[in-house]
Amino acid sequence: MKTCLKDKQELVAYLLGDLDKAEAEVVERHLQECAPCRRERDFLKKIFNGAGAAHRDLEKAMATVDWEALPERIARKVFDRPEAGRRERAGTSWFPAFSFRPAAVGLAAGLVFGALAMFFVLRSGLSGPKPPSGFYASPEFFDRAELEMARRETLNYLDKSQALLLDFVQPASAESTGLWQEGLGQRQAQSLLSKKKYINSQLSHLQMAKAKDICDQVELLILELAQVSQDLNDEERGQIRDRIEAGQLWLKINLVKKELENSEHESI
Amino acid sequence: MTEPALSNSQPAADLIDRIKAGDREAFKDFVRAYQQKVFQLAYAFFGNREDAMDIVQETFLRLHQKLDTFRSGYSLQGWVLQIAKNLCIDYFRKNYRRRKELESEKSLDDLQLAAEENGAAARAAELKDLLSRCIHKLADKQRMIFVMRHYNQFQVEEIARILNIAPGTVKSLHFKAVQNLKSQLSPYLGVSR
Repeated sequence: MKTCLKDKQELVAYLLGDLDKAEAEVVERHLQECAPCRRERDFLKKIFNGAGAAHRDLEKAMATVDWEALPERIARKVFDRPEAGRRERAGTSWFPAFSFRPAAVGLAAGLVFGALAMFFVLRSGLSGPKPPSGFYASPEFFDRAELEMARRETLNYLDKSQALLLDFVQPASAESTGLWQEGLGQRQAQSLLSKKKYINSQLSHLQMAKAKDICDQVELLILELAQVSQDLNDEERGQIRDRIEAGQLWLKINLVKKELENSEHESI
Repeated sequence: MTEPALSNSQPAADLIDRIKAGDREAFKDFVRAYQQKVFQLAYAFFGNREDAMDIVQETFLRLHQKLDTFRSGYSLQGWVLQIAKNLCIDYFRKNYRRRKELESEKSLDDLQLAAEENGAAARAAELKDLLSRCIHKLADKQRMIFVMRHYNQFQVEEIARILNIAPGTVKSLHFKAVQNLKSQLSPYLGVSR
């Protein structure tokens, strides 16, 4: 006895006439013996009959179309629209490059226009006088601006150095001790040393001699601070403090700062 | 089902060459030969005349643009129906699926009730409608194969050629389509599964 055909392709193939005679006979014999397969066959027949009914609808719908007129209608759409003629031209033209497309024409026009514009711009730039600039500044103005920038940089450097030195020389507090123990003070000192390198050239170039002198002295101290160990004792701290006081560095920094603040445009 | 005869028994490649050269009559012969095949496919796919007519026109417009892609020796009918099939699927995805889903969701139960109240003829009509809605819920390839097999009445080998897949795949996808239709329809046809 053949195994059940329910949910197998064979039964569908049988109903659609896709099996050869021998295969079909085997299925028929099985159907006589198997009630579930007969129910399955009846159900599938309903589906295929439904599709058959739809096919009859299709035939009715086809009868409503004017098949004689349709080719001409479609041909009109194909051949009578602007781009339709292009295929004809492309096929018969002796030189396909003449079968321009709007995009290609636009591109070519753009290239020609761009080339002409470039030609006129270059020609006027090479032969004619230079057009007046929208901004003009005298060399003196630039010198003053440079000096002003150097002055501000120096003031900034001295302010920061003074703050760092103050942190160092003031009586040990939890805050300042923490600053140096965690290495923050050393890092600030390194940063100030880098800044000093940057303003060195300005101080020399702009002949800010007095400021340069003080900045150099500060730099030496900062250099020392950058190298001090994190566990500096009070005695060593006192020595550095004495040197700051002996050189009246505090006073000198204040004086230079005051001068820098007062002389916005003067050479120091 | 055989290829439709072209006028003057012209070989496909010659016909295509003449259309490429701008021969309007050749193009009309081409449309005449395959317009009904395309219509059958599209009508079965969408179940209405207007969309089917749109697909027929669009198919031949597209074919005219793609004449250079026809490979000589290949079945002209296969090429035409392959493009028609792609257009049907695109059109369905763009415009149809959601609309049909909404209609189907709303009316499947209504259809069953109507069927119970009316006679045998009405039941047959309802079954056809019900089936059409269920077909729209199938996956694209399953739907296309079911439609080609039952509405266009193509044989397995022809479908395989048109869709460029193996005959075994056609059989298997057709069987899956039938199984899906069975599971969709069984609650409405009162068949115990």
